[in-house]
Amino acid sequence: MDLDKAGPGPGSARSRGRLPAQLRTLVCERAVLDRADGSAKWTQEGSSVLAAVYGPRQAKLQKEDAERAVVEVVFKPRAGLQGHEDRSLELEIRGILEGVIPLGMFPRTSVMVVLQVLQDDGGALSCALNAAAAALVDAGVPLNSMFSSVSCVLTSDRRLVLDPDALEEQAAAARFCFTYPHHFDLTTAVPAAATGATTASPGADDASATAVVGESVLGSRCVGAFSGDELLDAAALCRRGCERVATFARLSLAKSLQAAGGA
Amino acid sequence: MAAPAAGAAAAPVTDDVDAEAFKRLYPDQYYQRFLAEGVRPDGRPIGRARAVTIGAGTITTADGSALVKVGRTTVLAGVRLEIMRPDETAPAAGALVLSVEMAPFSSADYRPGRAPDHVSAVVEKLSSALLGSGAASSAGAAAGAAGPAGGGGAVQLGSLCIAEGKAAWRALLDVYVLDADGCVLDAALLAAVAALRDTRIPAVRNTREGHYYAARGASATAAAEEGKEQGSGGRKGGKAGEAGLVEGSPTAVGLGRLPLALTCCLYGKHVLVDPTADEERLAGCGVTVVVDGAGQLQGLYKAGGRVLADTATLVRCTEAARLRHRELSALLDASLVGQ
Repeated sequence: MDLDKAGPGPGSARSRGRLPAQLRTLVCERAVLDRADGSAKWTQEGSSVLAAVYGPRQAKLQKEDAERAVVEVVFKPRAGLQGHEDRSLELEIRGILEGVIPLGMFPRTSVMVVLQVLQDDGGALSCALNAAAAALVDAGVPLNSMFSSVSCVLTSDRRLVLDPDALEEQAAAARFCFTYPHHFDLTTAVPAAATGATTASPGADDASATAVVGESVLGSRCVGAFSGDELLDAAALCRRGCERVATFARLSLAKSLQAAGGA
Repeated sequence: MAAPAAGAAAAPVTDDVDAEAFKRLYPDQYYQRFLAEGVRPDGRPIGRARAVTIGAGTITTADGSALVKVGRTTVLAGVRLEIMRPDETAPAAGALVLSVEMAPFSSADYRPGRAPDHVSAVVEKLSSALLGSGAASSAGAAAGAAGPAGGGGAVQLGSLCIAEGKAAWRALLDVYVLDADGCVLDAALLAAVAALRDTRIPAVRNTREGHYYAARGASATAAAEEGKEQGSGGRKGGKAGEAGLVEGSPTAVGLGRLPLALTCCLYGKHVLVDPTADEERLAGCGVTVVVDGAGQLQGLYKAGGRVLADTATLVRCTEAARLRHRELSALLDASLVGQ
């Protein structure tokens, strides 16, 4: 599926002429809250989630684990009380974070991640996971790997469309949300990049780091009516989307951290 | 007792250490020893799911019921029907109200006063499979026949309609988890589906004032007699359905497709199919696949980040789920025959 090249074809009229494989505008603000150890607000055009990280800090006696840190997640919807879906999402997000945070490094502590959906225009779970990643970086919590998350949907005419908005999600035959771990390869220089002779250390120039997204999935949530092939296509499409999210997150966080700590 | 060394190091274990104690102290080594032989502590090969028993119609006071045992996991589902006035937005659709409860004796993790976390996950996935993906967030908006292509769930709410705009059935589906020994969602979904298929919808009578009520028990036989009389002569002399027995009311809950789930847990390099509670706790991550009769996938949830799932693993899990579906639907048909 040549989603990057294909223009909006018949029946694909996404709002504002977005291409099928085009992500919405990403905005990441770091250190939004004063009292939290780490916080971030992640916006994907109409969807916005605020994440706050408290920890690692002393865990309550009932909840502490003698050998590892305990991750607690609170997922608050935009409006109303938490329903079953929100608590189910808490469980899933907690599972992902437990895989990414080296729990054995902080026995008897707890890491609490609070996610508040500020606006929901589709892809709220992906937004929340990305916000959590940025907030964990802001809090300085060590991570086994960074991760990023992207949603896509299968439209009623069996086409995959990346980063759906709320209308596309409601009309979709199936919804997919994949979370992939990623790391940055600092050893390869981008060919014919902005500057000619890049003799500076690779880490200093952010543009030279290429995002390498893992082949395997950290977490996934797929609901609807879809076939096995469509599932694998969606996974591949989301993986490409995660590359872009990863690159953006690195640029945004690096710039923000440099501005904060550099001077 | 046992060696005092930290759990991670392989302590020298003498023969007189109880197997149970070893399992508690060094769960990873305990399981590795079995998995190295390709079996699990309960004797199953790694890729085999547990034996299933389905008992349909076990509760006589309910309109439909099923007791399902998957290994030691036991789930009881019951359906009770009541007549309601349909919502204006969906005048030809009934409703399905789902509730899931875990009995206090079902697992050692039970704490009074707060439902265990995974109950919400089970409720959410069950309602997703039965009512469609829109149901969890927008209650009641999932109309019976129409609706987004993938949003419609297995239960056809339109089949619960008695008289459009005036009366429809509300099915109260209660799922009780009596023993949570792993794969609670799989057993709960199977029990819910079996209970819905077992449900016998009673006949409906209405009064001259347009009040509909169910003809259960003694009035059911009276309704049946009335039906015969109406067929031959027309007793009340008005249009059929004005008063007396309502013709053409549904007799069974329409199930468009049969969604069934299978959970596999990922432990190191192994994919353990249908794990017990111990295995789930040890592995920490798993893949749950919901499939329907046509081989279409209804849901895939990969939870837990400790082990990553590559494409091959996902394909394996979906194939295992499809095989399980064939096995379970045959069992379901066998248990419901003669009902």
